[in-house]
Amino acid sequence: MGLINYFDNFGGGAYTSDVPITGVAISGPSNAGINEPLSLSATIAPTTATNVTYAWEGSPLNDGEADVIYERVFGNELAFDSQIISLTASNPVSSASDTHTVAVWDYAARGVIYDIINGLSSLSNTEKAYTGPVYAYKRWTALRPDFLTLFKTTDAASEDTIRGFEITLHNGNIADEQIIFREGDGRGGIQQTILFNIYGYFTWNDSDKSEIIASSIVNQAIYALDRDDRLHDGQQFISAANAQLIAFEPWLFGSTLVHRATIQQAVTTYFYNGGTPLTPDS
Amino acid sequence: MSFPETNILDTFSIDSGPPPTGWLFTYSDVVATATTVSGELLMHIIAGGDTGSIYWSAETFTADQECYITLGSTPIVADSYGALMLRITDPEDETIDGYKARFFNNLDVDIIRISTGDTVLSGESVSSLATGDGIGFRVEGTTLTLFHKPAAGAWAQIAQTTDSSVSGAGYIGVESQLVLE
Repeated sequence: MGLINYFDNFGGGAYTSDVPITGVAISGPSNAGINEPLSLSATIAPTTATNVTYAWEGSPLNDGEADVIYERVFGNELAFDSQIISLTASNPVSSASDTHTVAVWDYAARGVIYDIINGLSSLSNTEKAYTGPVYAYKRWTALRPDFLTLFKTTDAASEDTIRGFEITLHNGNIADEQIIFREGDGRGGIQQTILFNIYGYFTWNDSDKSEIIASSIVNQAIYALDRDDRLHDGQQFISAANAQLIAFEPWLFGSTLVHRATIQQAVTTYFYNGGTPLTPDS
Repeated sequence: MSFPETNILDTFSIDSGPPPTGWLFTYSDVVATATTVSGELLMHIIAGGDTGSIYWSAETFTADQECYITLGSTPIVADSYGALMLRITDPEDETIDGYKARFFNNLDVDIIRISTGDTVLSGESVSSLATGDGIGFRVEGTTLTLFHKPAAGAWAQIAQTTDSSVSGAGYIGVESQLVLE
């Protein structure tokens, strides 16, 4: 006689008592500079999730930590554009992912200053009408009309005006340079203080009392620079000086008379000392 | 510790035919027709000495794993058993390895290492086996545990042992055999 066995409802799989991950979030700067170490952190949810492995940009780095710091150094082989950093946190029963977009600049501070000036939020409607494009770098064109177009806007009276900001390096932009060993890991590098000039252009309009409006906008820009944690909290940059208005003057922008304000912002930051950028886990 | 922690993989919900997609025969299943599905139940029809043996080939599972099944009948022939398998490697080769939890028609249960010459690691007995009962098997680290659930009852641990011979990921499966004396 043979054997006949019947079975039903087969189940099974990987068994674990691990707490599943419901989410992971990357936090950290959204601007990076070449050879300036960028530090990002991951926060897992729930914090009781167990056996978590973090794979930043596809590379497993750290295991079993609830919050993980990840350091990335962009080398100058990169195009100056947005880079997306990915993170997948996994444990045997679950996984979650997040991405973080970083704009790569020559100096991270340039991007931060751009974000601040471009994002001035305290302006009145009158002041907003006096703003124009914000450029993160010094603009130039071969033909003057093209150049004027970069800053040309149309005001409420349908007249062309010149308005806007440019963020550029000050002549002799490195105000100070020292060899230092970074706090924490003792890694050698260079501490530099970079000087940025932020030029504001505002078409002169006597009937609008344009000087007062322009001055108010500039003051609010300085206030925003001085109050911004990204520049001053000591996390991404070693330090930042208070912004200074070093000139507010009549200026011929092409053939247009404008108020030109020059705000100077010094930012002290840390660079790896040249050579091949460090790999993320070195 | 609760059992099981994993989901149903197959309810065998076809009227008849070979094992559904996701299953393959192991090296031990020497008669391909020994394992079929009939009346929405997995069926092993085995002559003396033969083995019906299939594994869930759709995926391997990490080392800590479990499987369980509901009995549509009990092994009614002397010296016959049904079994669950964990951490199976090389399932279709003579080098097949892993662990097996067997339940015999005489209510003996045991846990064995599948290898050349199966090694019995632990032997116990269960008070009863009936249609509708559940049999479960879990390996966590080096700990192997066999569970039983009466049709209208709760899962309970029947046997447990430790072994470090097979430690990695692998397949899971189900088997029946009529042992030749």
